Amino acid sequence: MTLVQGRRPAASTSAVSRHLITMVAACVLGAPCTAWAITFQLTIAPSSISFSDANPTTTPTIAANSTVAVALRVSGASSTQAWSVHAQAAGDLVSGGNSIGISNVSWTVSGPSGGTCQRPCSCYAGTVSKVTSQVIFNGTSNTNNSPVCTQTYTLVNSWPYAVGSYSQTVTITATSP
Amino acid sequence: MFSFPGLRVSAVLTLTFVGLLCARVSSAQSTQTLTINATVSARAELTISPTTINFPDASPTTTPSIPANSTVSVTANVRTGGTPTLKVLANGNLTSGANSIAITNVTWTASAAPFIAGTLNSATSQDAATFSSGSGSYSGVFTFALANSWARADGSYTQTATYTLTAP
Repeated sequence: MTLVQGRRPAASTSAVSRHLITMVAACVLGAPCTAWAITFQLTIAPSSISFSDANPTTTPTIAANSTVAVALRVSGASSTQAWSVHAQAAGDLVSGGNSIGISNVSWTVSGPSGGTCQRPCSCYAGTVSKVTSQVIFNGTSNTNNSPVCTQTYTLVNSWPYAVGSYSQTVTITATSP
Repeated sequence: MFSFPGLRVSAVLTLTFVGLLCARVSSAQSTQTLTINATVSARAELTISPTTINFPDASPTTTPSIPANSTVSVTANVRTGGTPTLKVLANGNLTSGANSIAITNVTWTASAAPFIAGTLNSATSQDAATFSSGSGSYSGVFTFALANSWARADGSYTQTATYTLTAP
């Protein structure tokens, strides 16, 4: 009896351990938890840019006062796990009751630089949209350090724009499907 | 199965850990916000072409009104929160030495709104357009004519007129 009692805990411990290991493995390997380990460190700098007033005849396209560095560090991703960074505006540029279509804002891009991707990754140029999120940066697997996409924003200038100080926010999100 | 307190704690902790890891699945994203600002200030830009027109000599009997050798294209670009204006003021009568022809003999028509027809005047600025409020870009054509008369002295007459576009 003493020996039997002494083995029961050992047997139960083993069973529980197997059960827990199975649960963790199921979670790790199961579809809902496939991407549980991936983490993103997304930074943008600066967080605000400005377009100065200019004569539309002589300056049909206005360059922003600064480029924007979008840096992303990806860790914990599998070798086949895709990720992407998207941008979507909350609306048009607005100044009181006046507005300028946000699609007049676009960007060119250079990079990635300052870090590397373990698998191919790319930066993309585009036009800001309030309707559809636009891809800025995508790739697969982890990054080494934080590769940077450097964006150069421009605004299409036009005489019919109403006088005012306009503003709008763009949400930039890193996700993995 | 969990009949041993120590194992129960471990199982609960492990399940909690697993739960936290799985909870990160739905939050595996990172978000930042970029603010875009733009400034649009009041300004006005007026372009006319050509900047010189001529009225050739003609018989007043057969040509009581002499058309200029060219029409004048006009483009008015404005950014304003108010109502723009386009005015023209002649700097005097047409003169040739001591002789003169009253500048009010020069009239123009306009191709389309917001530009309007008028008569040159050296005393009072004349409206050359009637704009609606706000910013815009407008293009049109002015066609000038000189009232002809037998009473004019021979000579080569000249004068300037100044157009002023205002975006208040």
